Amino acid sequence: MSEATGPLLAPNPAERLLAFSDFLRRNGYRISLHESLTGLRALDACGLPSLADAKTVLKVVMCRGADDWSRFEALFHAFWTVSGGTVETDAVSGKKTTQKRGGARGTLIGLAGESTEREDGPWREGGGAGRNKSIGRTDFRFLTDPRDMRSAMLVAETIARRIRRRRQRRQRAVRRAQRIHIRRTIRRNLAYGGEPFVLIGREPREKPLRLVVVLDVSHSMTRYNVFLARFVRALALTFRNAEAFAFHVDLNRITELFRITSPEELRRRLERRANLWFGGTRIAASLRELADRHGHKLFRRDTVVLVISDGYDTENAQDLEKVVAGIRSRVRRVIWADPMRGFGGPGGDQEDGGPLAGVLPILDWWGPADTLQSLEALADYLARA
Amino acid sequence: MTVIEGRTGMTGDRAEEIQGMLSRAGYVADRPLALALTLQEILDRPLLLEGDAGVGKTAVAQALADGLNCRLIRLQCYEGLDTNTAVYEWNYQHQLMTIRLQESAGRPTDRLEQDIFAERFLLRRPLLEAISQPEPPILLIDEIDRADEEFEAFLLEVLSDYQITIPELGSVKARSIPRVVLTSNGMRDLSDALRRRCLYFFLDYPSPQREREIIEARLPGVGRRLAGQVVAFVQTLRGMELRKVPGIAETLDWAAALAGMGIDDLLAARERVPDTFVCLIKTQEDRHRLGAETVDRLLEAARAGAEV
Repeated sequence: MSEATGPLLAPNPAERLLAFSDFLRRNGYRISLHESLTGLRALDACGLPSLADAKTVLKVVMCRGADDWSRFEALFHAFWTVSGGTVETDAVSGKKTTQKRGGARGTLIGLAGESTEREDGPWREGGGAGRNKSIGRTDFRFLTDPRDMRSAMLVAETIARRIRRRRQRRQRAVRRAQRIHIRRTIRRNLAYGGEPFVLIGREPREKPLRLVVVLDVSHSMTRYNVFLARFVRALALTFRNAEAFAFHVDLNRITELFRITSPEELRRRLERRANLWFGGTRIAASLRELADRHGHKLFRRDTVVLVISDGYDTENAQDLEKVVAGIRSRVRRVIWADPMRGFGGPGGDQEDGGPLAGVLPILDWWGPADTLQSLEALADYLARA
Repeated sequence: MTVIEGRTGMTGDRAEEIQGMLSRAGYVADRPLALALTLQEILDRPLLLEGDAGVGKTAVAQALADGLNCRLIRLQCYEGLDTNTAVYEWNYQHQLMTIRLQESAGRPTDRLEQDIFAERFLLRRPLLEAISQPEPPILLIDEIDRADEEFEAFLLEVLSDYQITIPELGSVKARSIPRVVLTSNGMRDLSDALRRRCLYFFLDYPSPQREREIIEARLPGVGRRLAGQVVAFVQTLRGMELRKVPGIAETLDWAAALAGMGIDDLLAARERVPDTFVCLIKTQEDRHRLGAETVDRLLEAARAGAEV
C-alpha cells in the first residue's frame, strides 16, 4: 500500500476521520472523541507518505487490546481501500449477525474475538446497565440478539474479574493481628519520638484463590458455553493460580490457550486442537484423569475445584460419586455449577439432583449457571471460598 | 487542523531515524513499531506494549534508552506492589537517629517535624525518581498486569498529571516528562482507563525474515545457513502445543549455544542437537513432547525453511 492518504481524507480530514471512528465504534471499538482527535493530531503531525503508515498510526491510537489490534487491518481495508473512505457505517456492521450453531468449536474459537465477526458479522456495541439488568435473568440459551449476547459475554467476564477484587477487599479489612508491623509502627510513632505507643498489627495476606475449573464442552453444553467459556477464560486471566480444563469424552488442559493474548495465535491453536469439541460426555473418566494426571500438582488444601457441567454422562453414576469423593478428600472445596439446574433438564429443578443425586452430599456448593444472575451467585461463593 | 495533503512525512523520517537508532542498539524493529515510538514522542503519551512472554517487549525500552543515550528507570511490577516500593519511602531509621541526636543535643523540638520530613530523608523509588530527572528518562513499567488493580489506579493519576503528592512535602511536579513504556503479558486484563491513556502496540512473534535479521544483528558469529535453520526450526516449534513457547531470547541462546559448540549445520549434527535443547525448551513436559520423531520432523522443516 503505497497510496497516499491525502486524497482519501480530502476535502475535510476531520469529517472523514470521524466517520472512520464511528465505523470502528459500530464494530465494537471503544473510541471516544478524544481518540478521534488524537488520531487526527497524529495524522496531521505525520503528513503521511503512505496509507500503510496511516494505518499504523490510527491502529496505535485507536486500539486498546489484542482483539482490537487483530481486527483493525480488515476494518481499515474495508473503510479506506475498498470503499475509498465512503462506506456507510452500517454497510459492514449491519450485516445480519446470527449465533453460529456449529457446536462448541464455534464457541471456543469465538473466544479469539475475530472469528466471530468474520463468520457471523461484527458485533455491535449496545446495552448499558439497564440492558444488562434485563438480560441478567435470561437463560443463556434464549439470548439470540447479537447485542444482548455481546453484553452478556462482557458482563460474564466482569463478574469473573470482580471475584478477585472482592477477595482483596476482605483481606484489607483484617487489621488486628499477633505480629507487629515494624515499619508502620515506627511511622505511626514518629510524633512520639519513636517510642512505640501505638502498635500496628500485621496479618498475613490471604493467598490468592487456587482454582481448578473443569468445563464440560460436550454437545449438550454448546449454547451455554458461548458465555461460560468467556467466564472461565476471565477466571483464568484473573487468577494466576487458576487452571482450566475442558472435557467431553476425555480431558484437555486449556489454561495456556486462555492465556494467549494474540487472537490470531489463539485461533490457530484452537483450529489445531479440533479434538477439544467432539462427542458425548464421560464426566467420571475425565475427572479421574484430572485427579490421576494433574492432581499431584494442583490438589492442595487451598484448592477449589469448580466443575461446570449439565450432568449428562454416558457412564455409571456410581463411578462419578467415587471420583468426586476422592477429589474432595484432597482439596478445600468441590463446587458444581449446573446450567440445567434452573430448568427441567437432567438435574434441573429436581430436588434429588437427577443424575447428580449421588454426588450432591459430597459437594460444597451446587448451583445453576444458566444466567448472569446465577454466575453472580457463583462469584459470591468463590469470593468467600 | 490543517488539511493533510502535500506535506512531507516528518513522522516518517523520524520513524526511520528511530528504526536506525534501535538497530544500532541491537534491536531489529519493523516500521510499525518505529512509528509507534515516534507517535509516543510526538503525543507525549505512554506506550503499552502487549504480547506473549519472550517477544522482546522489555528489550524495546532498553534499546530505546541505549539509542537515545538516556537513563532507563525500571519498575518491575508484582502482586502486592505498593506506593512505598514504587514511589517513595521515608528513611525511618535515619529520621529516628536524627530525633535522638537532636534531643540529646538539647535542641528545640518545635521544628523537629519540619526537619525530619525533609528531602534528604526521602528514599526515591522508580516513579518519583523518573519524574525528578532533569533530562527525560525512559520509564519502563514492566509487567503491569502482575500489579494489583489498586496500583494500576494510582498509576493512572501519575501518568496523567506527572505529579506525585507527598503529604509531608507537598506535590512534586515532573522536572521532565519521562517516556513511559508499559509492558503486559496478558496475565490479567488491564483496566479500560489505563488503556485509554496509553498508545497501544501488540508485539507478536517475529516473522522468519525478521527473526533471521535479529540473529544476524545480535550474533554476527552465527553463519547464514545455521541462522536460517535455527529460525525455521523455532518457527515450526512455536506451532506445536508447548507449555512454554520459545521466545526470541531462547532463539538467540540456542543459536549462540550451537555456534559455541562448533555446529554450523543442524542436519549434519542431528545427534548433538537434542543436547542443546536446554537453551530452547524450558519445561520437562515440553521436553517429553520432543521425541526423536518430532525432532526429525522439525529438522526437516529447518532444512526446507533454510532453503527458502
